[in-house]
Amino acid sequence: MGKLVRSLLWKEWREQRWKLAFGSVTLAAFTGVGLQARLVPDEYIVLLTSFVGGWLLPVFVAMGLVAAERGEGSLHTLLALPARPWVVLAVKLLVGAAACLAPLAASAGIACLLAGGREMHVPVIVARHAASAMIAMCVLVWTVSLSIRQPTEARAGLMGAAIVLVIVLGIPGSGRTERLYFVDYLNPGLVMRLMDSLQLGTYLLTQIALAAFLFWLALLRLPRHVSSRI
Amino acid sequence: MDEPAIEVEGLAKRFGSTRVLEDVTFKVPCGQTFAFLGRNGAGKTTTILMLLGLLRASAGRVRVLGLDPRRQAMEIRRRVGYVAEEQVMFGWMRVSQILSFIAPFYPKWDPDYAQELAQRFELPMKHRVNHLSKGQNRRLALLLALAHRPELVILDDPTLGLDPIMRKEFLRDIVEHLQGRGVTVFFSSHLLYEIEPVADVVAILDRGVIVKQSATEQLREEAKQLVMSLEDYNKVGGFPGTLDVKRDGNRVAVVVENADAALTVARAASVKPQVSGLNLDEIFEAYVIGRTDGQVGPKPAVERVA
Amino acid sequence: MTQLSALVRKEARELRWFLVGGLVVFSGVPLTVRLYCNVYPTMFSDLLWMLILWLGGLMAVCIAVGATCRDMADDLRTFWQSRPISPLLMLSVKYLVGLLVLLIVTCTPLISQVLMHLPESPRTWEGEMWGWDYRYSFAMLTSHTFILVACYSVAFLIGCLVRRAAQAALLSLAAGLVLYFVPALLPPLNFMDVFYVMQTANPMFHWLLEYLLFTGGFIAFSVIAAVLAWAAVSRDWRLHIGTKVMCWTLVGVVFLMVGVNTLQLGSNMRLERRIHVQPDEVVKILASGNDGVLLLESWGAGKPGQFGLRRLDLAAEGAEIGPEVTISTDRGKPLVAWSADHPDRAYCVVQRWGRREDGIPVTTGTDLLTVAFDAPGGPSVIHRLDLLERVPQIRDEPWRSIYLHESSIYLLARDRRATIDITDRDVPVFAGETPLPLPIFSFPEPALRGPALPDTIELGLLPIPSRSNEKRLEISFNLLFQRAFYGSIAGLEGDVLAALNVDGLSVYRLEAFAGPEDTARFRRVGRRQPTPLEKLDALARSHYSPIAVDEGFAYVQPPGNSSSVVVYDLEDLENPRRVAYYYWAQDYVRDLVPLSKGRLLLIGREYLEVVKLRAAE
Repeated sequence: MGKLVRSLLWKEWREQRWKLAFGSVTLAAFTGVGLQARLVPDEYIVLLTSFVGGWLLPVFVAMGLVAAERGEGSLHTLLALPARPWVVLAVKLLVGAAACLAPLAASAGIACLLAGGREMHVPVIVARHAASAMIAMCVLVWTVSLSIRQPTEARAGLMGAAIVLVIVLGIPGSGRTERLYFVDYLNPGLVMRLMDSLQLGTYLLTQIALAAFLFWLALLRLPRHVSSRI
Repeated sequence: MDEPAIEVEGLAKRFGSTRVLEDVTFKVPCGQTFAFLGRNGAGKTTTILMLLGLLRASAGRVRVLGLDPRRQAMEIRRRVGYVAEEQVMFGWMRVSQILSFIAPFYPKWDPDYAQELAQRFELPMKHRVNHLSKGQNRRLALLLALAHRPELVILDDPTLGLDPIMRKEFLRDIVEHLQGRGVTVFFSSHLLYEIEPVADVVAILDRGVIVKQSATEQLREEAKQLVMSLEDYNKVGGFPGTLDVKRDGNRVAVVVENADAALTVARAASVKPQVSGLNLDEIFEAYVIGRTDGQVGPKPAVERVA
Repeated sequence: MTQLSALVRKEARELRWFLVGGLVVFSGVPLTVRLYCNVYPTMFSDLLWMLILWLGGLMAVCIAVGATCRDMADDLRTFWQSRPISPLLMLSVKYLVGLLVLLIVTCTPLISQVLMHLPESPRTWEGEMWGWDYRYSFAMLTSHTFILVACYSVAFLIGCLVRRAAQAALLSLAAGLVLYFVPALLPPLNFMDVFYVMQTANPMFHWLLEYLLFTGGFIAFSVIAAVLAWAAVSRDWRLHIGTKVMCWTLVGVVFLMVGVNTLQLGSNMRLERRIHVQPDEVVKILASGNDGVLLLESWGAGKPGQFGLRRLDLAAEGAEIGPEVTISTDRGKPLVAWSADHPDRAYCVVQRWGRREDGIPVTTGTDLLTVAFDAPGGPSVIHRLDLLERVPQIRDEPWRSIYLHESSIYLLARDRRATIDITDRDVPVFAGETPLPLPIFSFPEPALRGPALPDTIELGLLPIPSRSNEKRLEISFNLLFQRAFYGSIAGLEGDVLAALNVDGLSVYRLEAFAGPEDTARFRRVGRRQPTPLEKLDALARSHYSPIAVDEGFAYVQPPGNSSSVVVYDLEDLENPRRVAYYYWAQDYVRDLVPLSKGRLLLIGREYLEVVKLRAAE
């Protein structure tokens, strides 16, 4: 099993590493340029890179995990191998998670170096990026799970964008000011409000349970018998 | 091994209200080369996917190497070599990389044998998969299916898209590396003339139903074409097991399933038709698109194949 | 049915959903918002033009890619090539039908907006970016439409070359960004800057040539793109680009623009020191080099309106601000004079107020306080000179400004001037007062408050006997034209005057002292107009910006951007150069004081910051 997983990890890493590099370079460079230029407050730059890294980059990564392989036709070959589908999917999600987290880590590092102690202290910068990382993981799982039957990368990307819109606009939580209800905890963006709060534990448990459910749903809907082009 | 390599009984598959397979039953003994013939859309690939556990059957029983694909799909895949129709592999990988990638999935992967096959198939190890020709691609797929020394090899239309020379070479490779070693081969195709020299048993699938299963030689011996005048045909009044009737002016050509039984009927009517042998193509054509009595209508009731 | 009508029908059917979608987004959304959640009266028109401005280009890309990539894909392309259809006819129909759809969805809402408001009485044409005047819709219609057509044409060309929808869309987005923003970044292309054209005046009256250049440029661009698209199809030119290259291209384009933006506008001054001064509020600072004084108003501890003076010593790390000397507990703000020649002395005019029987406020006491920061018992007031006793007329008209020059302090009221001799720094002596020939507000002053800076400026000079014209100019400028607490409207150093408004920085040189009028005449010798990017950066208008000139540099707070400082090099007066920029995120700039050697002291509400020009290091 170990060798099998290593083999799968190697394949997924080779396929996704350019996205990791792309995301890291882009996010880190924008953070660096923005903080160095000081055309707007540091907080705006951190907010922008957190938004891109937390909401948009995971969609970009997710659309290349399953749908792209299906569009190319090699998904059937992969699933016909003697490897359990949950292992295959888990490895894809793991590598996808790395491709989402690395850019945020790079951005956080640059922000701490350039702007730590300026208007924002290092712990605040790190906390913001950690919250974005949490959002990124949720968006990644949501997108992979719900777009798993899309036949092409482009369609999966469109679906991912729609999912982000629905989460941001449809599920309350990030905008509500009075007490929170259970449905609010379904919104990954709620973490931004709960960073200092004891309710963070409830949020984390909800999101982990939701991720597990979505993973199971993805396994159920994984198209195993599609052999080639659309 | 006494147990058949593949045992299918009453297999059925529906997608919504569309019936793709109905009551399919066949057995493939170990060591045999079994040809699964059918037109496009007959249900060949669907059957193969169910053998590998990639598709769930609506009804029926399937056993592959004594294992249930629904519960033991992983074990089956470890012991079976599979070449898919239009198999798309990871284009960015080099040949050497794809061998290293696939190897850990199979406990019985033989790296020396893989290298030997790569040399025999003349595969360039440093080339990327998406830079290989179609023939090289197919041979690579075959290599991946053979290198772990499977007990059963399933080939789903493996020569699709290859030119005639490549097809001949591919089949020659199958004969050399599989039949010679007693490996069971399950082979689906719609190119009958190339299956003829390699298949031990042939099953014809048409619209989700097996219309004929027989040893290849036996099929060629039993199915014949009888040619006679129109008067003689009318005198006989019909032959048992008629698959196809063609009229050409005053001459009638009838393809029958069982030539001996048909000749007995002809002799009883004092008719002496001309008997000619058919190749597998013609037999297949008669089974799937043959018209009885020159009319368009439902085909004769199919025989349940044991 | 002819070939043409068949092609038109086919294209119309294929693009109909773009038409529906575009009308829903550009017309339906603003209308829905207007009907159901109209937060303010002009929300409909604001939302309308904002959607078209920000999404119009995206719509153009979608329509062009949708019109081309489907039929240009390999399998369908073979189908077309095997038919007797002229590629020119097919492409022309595609291009024109798609263009029509684009124009319908983007122009219809704007035209209806213009027509709906046409009967209203015309207002002054301002063309402001955030204006709700219907003329803004007209400006968008007559300018933004052309860039949309250009975006569409470029995306059409890219679709014909790339022939794969996702890749073509990404590349077209990158091209669209270039079309929108590169003219704002590169001065030779500024005439094609759509934001500037939309922002400025009525194109029909003042900008005819520029408008023709603008529209002609984009029309020519569109025609060239369309012709290239035809050539690409008929000669089967193909661009094979993968997703990776597309992504890196898009990011590269964005980086290019951000990079140029940063080079032009980015901060390049180094922060030397930050000093926190809350809860006291800095009212005034006088400083030079490492020394200065702060006038602070205290609000806390039940002491509203208490003014104190503190010594500023930037050389003392961690103890930059000395102990406070209370100088007034009256609400009237003191006037402060200080000189770097004697940094331990400061002079304050404090005025006490009361009311007459008729309720009119009057001065009940005016003193000149001498504050010594090096007094043996600590900083304290060491001398008090009663000015009301010597100039009783200021009871009704208080002192308005103060200036210390060499060994004299000059005070100015509405209709008189006083001189105080501080040869003995610790004991100021009243040296006399002089009525002014005119009230101070009648003195000729720089016409710097209008939208445009004039070519010549006349500054009225105060009558100060035994002073040369140059010294009178310096004293008069500092007494008459400094706004006491919020920065100067212009900066003067020697014979050079600098002023700033939205038209940019203007530099004037002293031309002559006009005897009869007793004025100093300045003539403009140089000008530095803002680039389109700099104009975008300063979104709002402001006529007053703190400005100071020191050691050949002009330090300004740009109009409309109270958190930043811009530095211009005046070495070449005819061509002032913008050399530095500093953005102050934590506070806003209330005033700025040049220290020596390229250092600048910024005064905010909560902080003082010392920043330095990198060029001066």
